[in-house]
Amino acid sequence: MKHADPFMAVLLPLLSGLILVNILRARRGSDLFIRKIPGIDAIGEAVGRATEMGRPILFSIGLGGIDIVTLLAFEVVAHVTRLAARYRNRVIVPVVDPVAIPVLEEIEREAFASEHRPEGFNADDIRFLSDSQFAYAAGVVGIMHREQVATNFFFGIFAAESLILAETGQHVGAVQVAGTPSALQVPFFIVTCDYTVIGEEYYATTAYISREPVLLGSLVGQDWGKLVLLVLAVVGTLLTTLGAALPTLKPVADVFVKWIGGG
Amino acid sequence: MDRTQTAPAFLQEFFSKHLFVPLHGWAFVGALLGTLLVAGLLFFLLSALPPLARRRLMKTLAFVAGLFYAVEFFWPEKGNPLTGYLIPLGTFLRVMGCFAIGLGLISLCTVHGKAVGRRSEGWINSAAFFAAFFAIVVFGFWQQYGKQPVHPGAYTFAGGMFHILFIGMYNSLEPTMFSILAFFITSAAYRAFRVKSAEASLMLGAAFIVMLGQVPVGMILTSWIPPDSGFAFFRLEKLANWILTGVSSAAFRGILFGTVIGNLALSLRTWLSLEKGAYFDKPL
Amino acid sequence: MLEWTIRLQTIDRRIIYGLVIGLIVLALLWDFPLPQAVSPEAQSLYETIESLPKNKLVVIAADWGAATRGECAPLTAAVVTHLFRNKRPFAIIGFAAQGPELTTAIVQKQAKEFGAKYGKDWCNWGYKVSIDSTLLSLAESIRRTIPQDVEGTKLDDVPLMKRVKGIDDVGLLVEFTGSGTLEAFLRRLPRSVKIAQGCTAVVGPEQYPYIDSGQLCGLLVGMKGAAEYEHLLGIRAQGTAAMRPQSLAHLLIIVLIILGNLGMYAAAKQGRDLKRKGEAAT
Repeated sequence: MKHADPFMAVLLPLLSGLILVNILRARRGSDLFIRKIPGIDAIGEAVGRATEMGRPILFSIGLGGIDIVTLLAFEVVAHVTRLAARYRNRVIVPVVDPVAIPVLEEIEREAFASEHRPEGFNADDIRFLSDSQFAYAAGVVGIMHREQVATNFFFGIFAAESLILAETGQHVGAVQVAGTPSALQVPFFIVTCDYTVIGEEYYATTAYISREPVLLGSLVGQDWGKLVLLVLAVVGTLLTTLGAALPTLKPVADVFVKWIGGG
Repeated sequence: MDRTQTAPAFLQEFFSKHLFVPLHGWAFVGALLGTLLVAGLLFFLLSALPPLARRRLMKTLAFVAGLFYAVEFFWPEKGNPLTGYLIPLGTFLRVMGCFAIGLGLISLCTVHGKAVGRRSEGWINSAAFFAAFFAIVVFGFWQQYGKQPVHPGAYTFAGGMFHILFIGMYNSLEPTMFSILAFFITSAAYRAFRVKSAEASLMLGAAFIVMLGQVPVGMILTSWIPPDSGFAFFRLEKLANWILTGVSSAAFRGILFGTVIGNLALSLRTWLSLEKGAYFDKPL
Repeated sequence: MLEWTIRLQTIDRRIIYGLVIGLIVLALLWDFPLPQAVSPEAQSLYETIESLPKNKLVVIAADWGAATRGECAPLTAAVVTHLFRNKRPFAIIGFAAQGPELTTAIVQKQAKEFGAKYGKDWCNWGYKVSIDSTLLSLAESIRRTIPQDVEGTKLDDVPLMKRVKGIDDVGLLVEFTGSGTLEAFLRRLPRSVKIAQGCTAVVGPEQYPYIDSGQLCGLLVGMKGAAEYEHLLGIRAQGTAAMRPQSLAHLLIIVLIILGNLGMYAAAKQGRDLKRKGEAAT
């Protein structure tokens, strides 16, 4: 689609408006509810387990470069590192994009400093392995075996190497928490990880952890947007089903489908 | 029919004749030095700005950049004044993307160079990186720009070495790692697929049907059902196709709705500089 | 007997891996015949290429690398065979660095068999960085986005490109990929360009909604997709050969899952028996 058709010209501003309205509501102090997300609640428990076992934590931010999904993963890295610093543990972060190294070093340094443990930060725990997918996977597998990690976190964009990483984590007996917006990798994480953050729950992670009003408001706006799509899907299904049976409804159904399909 | 250029004529001429045009000799040197000078000046000016002004400038630039694409998309095609700028902007973004290749290379050499220099743990692997890197680069350029083989299809020494390194080693190592998945999925499925609840048994049943329906063995198992009969739906290949295109497709569509809206929200927050967090709240 | 059954839930993974290797090697060495069904999605792509107007260009987007060669190479080979057989001119473009090169190797091998010539029957636009901005520019102007082919020849001087003025002259784009790049094509290309995909089996399930909505005119999924297409073309190649090991591997997974569940039930039964004995004793 090169330019917006009438349906898009209505839908996109509507969805964007819903999100922005809720951000404004949140900024004005409205009390917004989000349900529990077990995968994110388990982060503290997983970090604690690693500390009890005296083994390090591994956090893989996936294959993305400095993009939106990976930037969200950075927020989780910050949260995990703060917890690890509090419990006197370390977080090994292997990366695919060398541009991420200084950003992650800054995040970890600040996390350790915020827990009054600046001496706990080790720049060598942020390791650039390779920008090649399977070379990265091979490197992470090696780290898991050599360092005998007790807990693995996988947050970010993952592709085929997700099963290699998670299954190896199973082999070394690590507790694993994974989160990715990629629906294709979710089945692999579900069979190998203890907790999985699925699809859009990933986008809710930062809001859930920080309880920042803008992020919470955006989350509520997203849910309203989903309701709009759900209503459209139900109305469309009913119209086309009934339209097939009732000739009077067929023109209405055709117009509706044509308007949505943009054809 | 080529799409109509709607940018003003003088800008069209500038884009096609002066921007992204290969330069040679002193013009190239001049352009390179000029670019470095302008970049240095910009960097100095940005550093001199107070942090609040810098932050406001970044927010403004992000907003304008996003606004261009948003307005171009929503403005109908007829009379759209911005469509003409899409191609130069696209070329500009692609040129920027190419710089990332050099950046990755520099970082790789820096990281592994430090490991070799300090003889830190695992420095042998870093040395292996340099050996592989220089071997591919040297033989790659040599076979491309050196003496070419006399007979078509034959290899020179450089061509043969490059073939061994790239096709023989690299092109074999990647699918080898990928094929580990075959073993891992078998052990993961064996370990995870346990019938502990009604939902688990439903999922297992669907998995069996799809696994059998995806391979000819499934066809054989239900080949006794006539393909034209009313019961043809129960042939494994049809049942598997229905699960994939009906049931699973609906679930993926639902996940897609949520992910796409999540992406929209994220993009909006980034465009309007509303995003919060350890990275976004850092002082510039 | 019960003890042995309980052990079935904890089979050593080395035994599992050994069984996988053994069965795959056996299937590759033993050429036993297997029937082949064709899915509606593969049939749809076949019919699209058959009915494509002769003056329309086909674009092959080679977005795969060596890692997914096992699935993407047979898919590409099958579709290229069809295009050569029907004398449909096509251009190769890639948004993965290795894609155009690996596809060219497949095309060159088949070009010899069909007597096809570079420039007249096919050409290579090469690898392009940044899929979104390239497709956006391509939809506006092919010539300005891709001024020359991978060999440095101006596109105007490539014979098959002479009648291709813009994106409206592209009748079909077939993307071969192991990653989720389809949305970029659906977003950026006009509806006049039909889009089809050949993808790895992992990516396949996510693409079915686009078949439903009519945004994809065909879909080939994994080795099975390649085998289906070869069946439609009446040939036996890599896809068909791969059905043998894939069949045995799937059967092995099913047997292992059944054994694992048997072991779980045996362990649960033992637990219940012990509990009953304990209660009876007290």
